[in-house]
Amino acid sequence: MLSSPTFSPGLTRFRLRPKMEYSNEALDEDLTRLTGAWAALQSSRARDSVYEFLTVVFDLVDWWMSDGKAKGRARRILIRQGIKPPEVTEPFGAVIIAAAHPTILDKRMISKWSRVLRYAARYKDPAQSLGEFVKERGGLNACAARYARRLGRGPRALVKKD
Amino acid sequence: MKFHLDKTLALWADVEVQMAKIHSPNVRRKILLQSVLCEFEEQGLAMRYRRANGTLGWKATPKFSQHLSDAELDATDDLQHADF
Repeated sequence: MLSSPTFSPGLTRFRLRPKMEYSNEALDEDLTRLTGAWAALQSSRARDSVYEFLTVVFDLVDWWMSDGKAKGRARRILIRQGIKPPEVTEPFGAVIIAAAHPTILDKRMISKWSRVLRYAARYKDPAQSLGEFVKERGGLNACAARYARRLGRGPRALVKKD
Repeated sequence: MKFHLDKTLALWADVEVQMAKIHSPNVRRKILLQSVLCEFEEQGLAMRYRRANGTLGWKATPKFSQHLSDAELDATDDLQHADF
């Protein structure tokens, strides 16, 4: 006898939404995906696994940015994790901190990954994967340095697109 | 606003919209679809992403894809062991 002839995702509840909202429940699901990606990175010894984690972070903040609400949502995700958000929130860094919570990451590592992701947000073709983009430009350290040169603060910062 | 859904999500969202239409026949399809997408998102089945042209799209999450492939394996297994 066939036990389950049909499959349905089976919505457990349904209510009409006059507006396209991004609820706390949706944010929590994204947070679950992030913490899962962080756990996978921690348990993996593969060289490229950091790109898988950073891709999850990048994809989330990328759509928040195109929705024009990245900073507010980054603050929300920190609060959902029980972390007091700083006065000035940098979305990529905030999401990395939230994903790794309760692990406390080294500030320099957060800063480096965040610079890489900001550089990718500015220059990466949406059709190209984050891993390919970073590797083509010499890896994480090289991308972080490129960000500092081209988009970071200071006299050497350029605004020209490469 | 037009919604851009990947193939997998479009199929399952359409199933849920048809179901919702039975209970709310006077509600516009657009409202039903956005309600279904928000529910999918809250259950970790759908996620938004930035498309190549910069607009937002929707796609099935890895969790949903995993559910579907598990269901497919279960169905195959059921068929192989079915007592017709």
